Amino acid sequence: MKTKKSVVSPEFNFHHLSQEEWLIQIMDMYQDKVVRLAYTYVKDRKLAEDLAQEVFVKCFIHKDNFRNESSVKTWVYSITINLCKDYLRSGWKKYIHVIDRFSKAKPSSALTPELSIVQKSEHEALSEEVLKLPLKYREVILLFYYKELKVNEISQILNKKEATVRTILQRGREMLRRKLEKGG
Amino acid sequence: MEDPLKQLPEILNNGRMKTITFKEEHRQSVLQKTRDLNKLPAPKSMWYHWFHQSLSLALGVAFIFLFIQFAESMPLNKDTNKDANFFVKTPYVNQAILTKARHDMRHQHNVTGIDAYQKGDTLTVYIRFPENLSQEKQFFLTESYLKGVSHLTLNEPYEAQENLGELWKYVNLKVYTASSTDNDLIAELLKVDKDFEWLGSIKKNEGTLKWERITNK
Repeated sequence: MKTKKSVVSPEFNFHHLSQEEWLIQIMDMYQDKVVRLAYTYVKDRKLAEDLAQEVFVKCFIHKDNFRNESSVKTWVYSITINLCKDYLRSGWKKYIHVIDRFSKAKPSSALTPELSIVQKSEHEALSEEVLKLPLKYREVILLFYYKELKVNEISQILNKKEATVRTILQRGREMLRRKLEKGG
Repeated sequence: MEDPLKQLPEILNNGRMKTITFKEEHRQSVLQKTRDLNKLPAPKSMWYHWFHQSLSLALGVAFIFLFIQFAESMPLNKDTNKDANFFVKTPYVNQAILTKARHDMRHQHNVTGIDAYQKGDTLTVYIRFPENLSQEKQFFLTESYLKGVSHLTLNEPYEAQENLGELWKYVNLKVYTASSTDNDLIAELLKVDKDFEWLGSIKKNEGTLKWERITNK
């Protein structure tokens, strides 16, 4: 099947679409965003791809549970984040990590050879440090700056109060600044 | 100074995240999975049904077999032996004591009959005295007999009995008076509980023998 990269309104009315068409639209809109968001959690390309597939299957299964109280974007992101957190909490993940330590010669990396040349650049250092932040701060920083979500959307996705999100965001920024200064 | 984090989308999308994309094969995999979810389960083959039913039948037969085996190993119901156990066999210790007492009383006191049986926790003792023996003598002999058979000191509490007689809790003494006869009345007495004159009963924890006249002759 050919991928359609059509520009669709984020709040499209999916009631007119068949279930498969609806899923295709959702994937068209969010496929890369979802896989990249998953990567920020699991930091493994293959895993992120697998989780993204699972996210879309879940969206399909729970399609009827979606209410227009939130946007489709926050709903899809919520599913992604919950799935990634479930994975990180699971014993399977811990098992895989132990195996990885012994079996993998070098860790899974998303970097191409070209990118590795500029790895030490300032930008790359920033993204490196962001991804090294503790999960609590990392997810808020990434949702705010990378996914460009508003604080109220983040609070909705993470099921936290807006004030809490702001505090975490502030602390994350400070933590990052200290790390970059130290590194620089 | 501009917040460097504002450039994060550009930095990540053009850098580390550039190659992380959701490929066509992943889309196809998702669509295939969702189609599989809606697919009806494939009908089971005849072999499956045959195997399933055979297995159920085999398990059922095995269960019935085990049940029969278990039922056969169960002991007979007590009710079926009720009549046979009506006269409970006097325990060995009691029987030995009675044998000795019978011997002594027959030879020394001319007692014509003595026997006993035990049912539950009650020992019933039958003594048939000669007619010419006075009532006081009968009682005296009976009490002596009881002392003899169980070292039971009458009027003493049960604790003083030194474990003899532990095999019963109560003793009923049924005393008969009859003229001397060659007939062996014991078997008859054991079956027919009548025509005795005095009933003596002793409760172990009290240790006293009480006489009660049953019939007037």
